[in-house]
Amino acid sequence: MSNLDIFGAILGFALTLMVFSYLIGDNPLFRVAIHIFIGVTAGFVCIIVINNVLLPRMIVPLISGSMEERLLAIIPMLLGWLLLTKISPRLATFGNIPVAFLVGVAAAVAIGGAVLGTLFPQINATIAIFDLTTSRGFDTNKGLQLVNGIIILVGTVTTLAYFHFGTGPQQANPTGLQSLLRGFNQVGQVFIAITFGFLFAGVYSAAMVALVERLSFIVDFLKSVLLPLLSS
Amino acid sequence: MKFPFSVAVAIGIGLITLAGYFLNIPVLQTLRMALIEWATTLAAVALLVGIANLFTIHWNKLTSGKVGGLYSAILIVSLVLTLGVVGWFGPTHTYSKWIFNNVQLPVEGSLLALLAVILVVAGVRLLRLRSSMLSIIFIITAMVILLATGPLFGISVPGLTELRSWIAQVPAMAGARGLLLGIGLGIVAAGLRVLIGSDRPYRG
Amino acid sequence: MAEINCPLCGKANPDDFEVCQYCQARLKPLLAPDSAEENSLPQDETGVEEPTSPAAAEIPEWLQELRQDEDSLELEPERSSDELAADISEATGDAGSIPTGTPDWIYEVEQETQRDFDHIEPPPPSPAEPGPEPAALPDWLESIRLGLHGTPGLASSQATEPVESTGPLAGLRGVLAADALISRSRGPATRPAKLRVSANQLVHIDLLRELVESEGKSQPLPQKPSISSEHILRWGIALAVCLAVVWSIIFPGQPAALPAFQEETAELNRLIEQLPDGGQVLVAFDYEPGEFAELDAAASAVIDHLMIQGAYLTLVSTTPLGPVLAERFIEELQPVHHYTAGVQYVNLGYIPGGTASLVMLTGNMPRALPYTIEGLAAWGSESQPVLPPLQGIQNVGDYDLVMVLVDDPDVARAWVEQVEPFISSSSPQGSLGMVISAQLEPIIRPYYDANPRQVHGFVAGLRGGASYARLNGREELVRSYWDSFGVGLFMAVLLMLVAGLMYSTYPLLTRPSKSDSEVKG
Repeated sequence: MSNLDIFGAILGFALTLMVFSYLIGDNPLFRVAIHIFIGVTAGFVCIIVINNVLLPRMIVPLISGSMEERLLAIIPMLLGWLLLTKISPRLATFGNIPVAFLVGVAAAVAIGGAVLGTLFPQINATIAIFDLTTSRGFDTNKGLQLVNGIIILVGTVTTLAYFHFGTGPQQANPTGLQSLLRGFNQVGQVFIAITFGFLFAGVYSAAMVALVERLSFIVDFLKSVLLPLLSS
Repeated sequence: MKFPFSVAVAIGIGLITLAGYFLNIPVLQTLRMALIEWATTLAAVALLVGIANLFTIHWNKLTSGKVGGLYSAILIVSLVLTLGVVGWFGPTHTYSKWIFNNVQLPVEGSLLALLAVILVVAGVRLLRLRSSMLSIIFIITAMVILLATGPLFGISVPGLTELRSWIAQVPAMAGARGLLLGIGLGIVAAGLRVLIGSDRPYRG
Repeated sequence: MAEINCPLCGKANPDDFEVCQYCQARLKPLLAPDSAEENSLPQDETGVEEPTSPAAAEIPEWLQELRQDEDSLELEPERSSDELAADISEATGDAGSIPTGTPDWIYEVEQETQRDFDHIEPPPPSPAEPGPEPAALPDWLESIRLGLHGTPGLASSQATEPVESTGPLAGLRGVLAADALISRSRGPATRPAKLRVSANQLVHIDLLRELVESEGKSQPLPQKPSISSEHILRWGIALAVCLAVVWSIIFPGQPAALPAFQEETAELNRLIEQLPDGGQVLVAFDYEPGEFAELDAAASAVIDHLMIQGAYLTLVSTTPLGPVLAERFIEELQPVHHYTAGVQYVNLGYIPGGTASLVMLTGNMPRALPYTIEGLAAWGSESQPVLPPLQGIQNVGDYDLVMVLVDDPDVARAWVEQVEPFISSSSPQGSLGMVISAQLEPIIRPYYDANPRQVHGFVAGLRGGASYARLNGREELVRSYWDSFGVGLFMAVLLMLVAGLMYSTYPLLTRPSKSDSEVKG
């Protein structure tokens, strides 16, 4: 192990303990670690953006590209300069143009993706749940498949209903439709509870792997770096 | 001004981009790709502007002698050092990777690891504050999934793995599909409001 | 004798006192005209000028309502969060999108989770951003993401700065202002041409100065207990979980068996097994560095399998730090395969723009990503041929397999929505596989269970990675975490179970004590 590696391990060990110190309570060591981390992140992001995006897309075409490439590179550069005016309150109106550009593209991309990638295929999948010809790994017989299909259909519809009609105030004399929606909401909430329970378990699993990795690192460090240093 | 230029830009650019999803016209496709390329380049510029802003904020804090100036100094030093090393040697050089492996990964990994404690505290508090049927369903689902996810000391509980598979593939998937459809509908509604100009989040 | 309450400590004082007898803060300026009177003063006296900017004068109606609701957030603290969220949703006219009405019991979990971090960093009032993405995402998705990215954040002195919602710094406050810069929907600040200060304002300035100066003096404030039962609960849980995990690391027992393969894992295995000789695979490293432990372990056996098959790999990333993660992964986790940059694999680096960047991959990839991370011309030049992994590639549809390593539900959804329809329409054998963080399993499952499939196979978290490793026998990395992982999860469940039983058995324990509430408040 080189000196650089040892120093790196000590640094990683110290930073890990500084972050873990948050469990005792907020403290200056934790804040120091966070500020170091932010600085490093910003530094990496800055260089990667310059190397990977600005140089090849703006600078290189302007220097060595054809006339067409130069023209194409000038537009984002112009928009980028306009974006900088957002910093100044006096000129901020000009900055609205690149932001409007970004918002327009983002809205269109989001709509296109949601319609073609989620809404159509997932509605189709909900309808096709009763297609008994498709095999599903966990269903051993057609009857069970049908029951599961019904549960999935009910769960999908009631969850959707909860999120779209779920938060209105309760009325004393609900109409038939309102009673139906209230029933949907209650069933939908059960499915949401199960889904969120699953999500909670997933987030916890991810965090637990991180904890195991960090604690393994601490144990390894103490065994391989600190103990030999102390004993020598 | 009732209909400023920026609104026209958002609507025009948005409609051209959206049309590219549904109409396979070569000119439209080329234009759409060019617009998206400019937008992504612009997003990168915005990222740099953000970093410049970060630097300025902390520089001002440092020079004004406010409380927390020491933290700002630490941030600026680590930012400048990283810029120097990664900028000079390149992001894949040994020195850059040394910074990444010994600062970035330990701190971010430790922050995530904290959640392993925080989420248990949250679960305990949930039971302490409120024991409704839904919160019990929530916590029982979470416990079953957690028990079925790990090895459980090598003990095999009959039916636990099958129960996990059933929850994953039937009720949890149904809820998630409802959520995904809801998100999809919400995105379409919000996006269309931008494209007809009724929402103008870019207005400064 | 009439009394007046101190503005600082709230205690009653005789109304002829100049300063508070308890905390020494000045009382007299409070006798100046109240705010209603002040507002009724003529404009020239108050010194406030009408906004001169046309942009500021034309604040859209929805924004005005939103601002009113922001005020109500401050004025009516006793109102429930759900009511406020509903108000905000209504104010933005957001009838068609997802309401923010998370079920209140879920809301409590989010709040409880958030509270752990919030005592150093209170969440800013968050009026729904009218842009497409923020209005469309439900709270739970945001809260989980916010929670995941570490989140403990910065000092309270930065509480007014925005919290990052995307990118590697998500969850941290006042870090990069780019997002706020792009999406802020306020008018430019209007400034009076010259500074005018009225007598009223001078009185208020005086009061403010007094208040600020009095901060430095010792105040007879009631002592808060330094350690509450909440602290003890947290320390106890931290100690129990950490000790259990450390014990299992130091004293490993009999290794537990890895889980049997799951259907979706076996599907991914089959896709890789069926790759042609010299097949070309696009691998996206779209996770944050904090997730490296889980994603490394989950993806290790999968990438190993790709390399055993001799696949040519193209590495890309839509997160800025992804290229460094990718390089580290290939060099440090898979050294036995001796994959060389520019020969068996090529790292094309970062492609900016989030969801829009994925559309670029369906267009002209040589134009979107012309250089490698080392700065070489990836697609060939006059002096150099196209690098082998990129031969015959023009867009993402030309790959035999697209493999996405991802930890963020929005990013995963974007890949399915933007890229998968293009792959399935442009090439019958092209497939989309994923290695995902465990938290994404419910989100990706509906896409996998669709007919036709939108995700053709996936590995979820450490469990999925262990299952895959068992399939192809590459168990080293997974094995190093697996047993301790199980111990940690068991301890977490045990703690929650014990607490649940305790609170249901002794109902008196179910409410936090008054002192706890005060500390938390």
